[in-house]
Amino acid sequence: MKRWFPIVGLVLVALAGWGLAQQRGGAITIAIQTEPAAWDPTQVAGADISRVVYDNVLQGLVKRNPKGEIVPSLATRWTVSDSGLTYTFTLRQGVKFHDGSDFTAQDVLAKFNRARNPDTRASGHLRPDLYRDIANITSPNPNTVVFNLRQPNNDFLFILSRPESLIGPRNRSLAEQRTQPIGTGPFRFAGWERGVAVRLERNPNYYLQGLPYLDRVNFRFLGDGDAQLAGLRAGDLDVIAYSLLPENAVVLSRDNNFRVFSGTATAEAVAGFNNSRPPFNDVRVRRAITLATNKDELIQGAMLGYGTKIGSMRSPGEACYVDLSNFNAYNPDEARRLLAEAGFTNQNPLRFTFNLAAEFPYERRIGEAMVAQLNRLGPLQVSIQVTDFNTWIQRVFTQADYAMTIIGHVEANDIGNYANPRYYWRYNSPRFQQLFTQYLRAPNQTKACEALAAAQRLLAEDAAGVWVMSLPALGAHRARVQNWPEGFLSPGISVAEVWVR
Amino acid sequence: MFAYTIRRLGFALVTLWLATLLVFGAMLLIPGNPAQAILGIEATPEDVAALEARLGLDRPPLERYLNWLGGVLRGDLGQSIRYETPIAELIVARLGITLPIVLISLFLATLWAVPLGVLAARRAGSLVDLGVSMASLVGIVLPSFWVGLMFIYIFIVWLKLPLPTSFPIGGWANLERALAALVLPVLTVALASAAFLVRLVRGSVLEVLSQDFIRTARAKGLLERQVLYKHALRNAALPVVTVLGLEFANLLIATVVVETVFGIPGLGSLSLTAISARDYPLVQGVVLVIAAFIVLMNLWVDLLYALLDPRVSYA
Repeated sequence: MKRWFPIVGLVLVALAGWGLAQQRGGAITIAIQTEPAAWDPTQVAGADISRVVYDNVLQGLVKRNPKGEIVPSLATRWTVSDSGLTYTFTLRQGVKFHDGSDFTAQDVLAKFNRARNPDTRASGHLRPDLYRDIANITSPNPNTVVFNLRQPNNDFLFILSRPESLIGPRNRSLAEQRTQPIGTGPFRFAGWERGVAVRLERNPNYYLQGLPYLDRVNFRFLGDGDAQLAGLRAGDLDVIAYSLLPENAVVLSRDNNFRVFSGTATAEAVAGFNNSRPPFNDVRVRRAITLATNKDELIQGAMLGYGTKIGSMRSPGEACYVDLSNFNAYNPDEARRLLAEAGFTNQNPLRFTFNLAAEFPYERRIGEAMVAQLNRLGPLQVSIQVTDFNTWIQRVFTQADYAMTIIGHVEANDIGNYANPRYYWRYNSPRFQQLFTQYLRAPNQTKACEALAAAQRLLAEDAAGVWVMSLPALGAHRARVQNWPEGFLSPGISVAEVWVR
Repeated sequence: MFAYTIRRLGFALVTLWLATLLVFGAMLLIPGNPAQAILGIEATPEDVAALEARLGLDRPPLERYLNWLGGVLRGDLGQSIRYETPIAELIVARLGITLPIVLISLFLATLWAVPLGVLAARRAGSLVDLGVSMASLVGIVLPSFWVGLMFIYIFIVWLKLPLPTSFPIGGWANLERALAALVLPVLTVALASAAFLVRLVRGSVLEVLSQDFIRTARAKGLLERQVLYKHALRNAALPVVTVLGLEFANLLIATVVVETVFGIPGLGSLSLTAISARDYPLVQGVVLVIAAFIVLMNLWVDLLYALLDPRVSYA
């Protein structure tokens, strides 16, 4: 006993110090770029919805933590059968929704039966395709929920960690959930001031003792990077959560009153081709564009060094990532040779338009710099067309009426979009589709990663797009904000453990 | 006068109706789809179709327009597609922020522009005149988003005045902060407006001062002060009053930029959101309200004319 005494003492001191350090109470205001149209990710898609509500207001069976790991949330543990067909979840007990009702297995059943209903008009639920492999869901006892799948799906836990899989009370009306979501998270949704902010307040009945630390959290909608900077300096804002302009990051990092944070997220800046029509149905032309793109220069010049070079549709933080960042590396001579082979020379240059959406500061400046690089080559004459995002969605995304464009794909694990020939890249490769299916149906993680690695390589060889960089998660907070999440691989900005001095 | 007013009101209604028709047509012509705008690029075409059905966007445009118009006639501006709240509530809340900005700015602008303009006109050609004219030129040329950012930099970052950089969360319930938040936007708008008005006042006074009746007034021995205030200013006021009416309407729209810079949820930023979200009924509602203001201001200016100038008669 005596031997243990110093250790026990140390632990006690450490615990006491830890307990003193975290102060409860207070409020912070966090700037986000856009104002979503609604707050229920099961009904409306959008990265900023998840940033606010994911794991703050609404929770699912499992969640992705800031490091991108899938960890328990409303399920405390789970088992997967050897066949990969049965997932059994043990539910957390004693959890209440913000309206005071109990969270039960019935809520889980109702949620996923709604999610997998192919009639989206009736269910009001997005993406039933994600849940297609669910054959049935049962609850053998109040603590347990069992998913039986039709075929193995390596992405199943990932799908359950997606924002679409968050769970609300089963009797809640869809309209109410859109504007005033109710969940089980550490904060309850206190109000939405249209055009201004969303207010979250501490959930006094949160099941994790002592959490959250903050009483109130406001998410303020401020699109303009300079207005954000002014707000942070004046003290109206405590945090710029992401999309901090690189030049502002440089300025703030020299000031002791602020902490700049940056890291790798899951947003790839994809300079996409319309692979289905000339000139980009010719792999030589696509490769030439890739070889003419100096990614290092773009990261330094347009982003002041923030950003990570990539070579395929995957970010370094994601599972099964293969580093292809130096594949088809900058080589203007080879680019000119390939273009000449395809019939384009300085005398007979390839002319096309590069579409940009005005609203995205990172992608817009990267796109403009990239076009300048391409025009420097000689046999390329590229013009820029800037439109608002909505026009971009209609022309480029929905109708695929474009040659080349650039946009950030924020969603994690979104390489599967290349398996959809109707997606706006119009990339139709049976080999890729086969590899992606192999990945989904692989019997184990090793096999799954092998297939996914091959898929990443195939995309790079095919030059199906120019994956310029993994965009940085770049933000800043005032020095009084403590314990800001380190890691940006969760769909949400989880603030349960953030506190202020 | 009464019959004239009634006739003008009739015209005003037709103008408003034409405005809604134009806006509806324009919104149909620009590309984009509100359902897709709400759902973003992660949604499937099926998701978009389902949302369109829920929002009634799968109905023919004419039917949607007539439904909307019918609602307006019953006093209902409808629901915003993006915000899922009654449009009238949104507009009233936003006007509650934009109207004070516009009215105070206009008041300040007049307060600065009239004395300066008169001074410049009286001393036409002098260094004072040159100074006022140059300053107003600079005020007109500088874009208000830049002036706004400079104001933030000078007053908040540099001088560290305790002014908010955006409208407070909680709005007017947070009265002190809300008022403080309007200081810099009002200054920005007022400065641009004064720069424009000062030239107008100067020109108008100069023109009147060159007229025969002023020479007569001076000839009969009136003091220069009396000539200026009794005779010249009243006549010079006519074009200024006209422009003030139009400037009011102008500022309602011009606040778009300033509201964006200062993070103010006013009518300007609402119309910007509505257009970029392709929220058709909201755009129509905002345009209807702004058009109504313009029409009313014009009417008011015309009626004021009759009061200021006995030669004008609407009988």
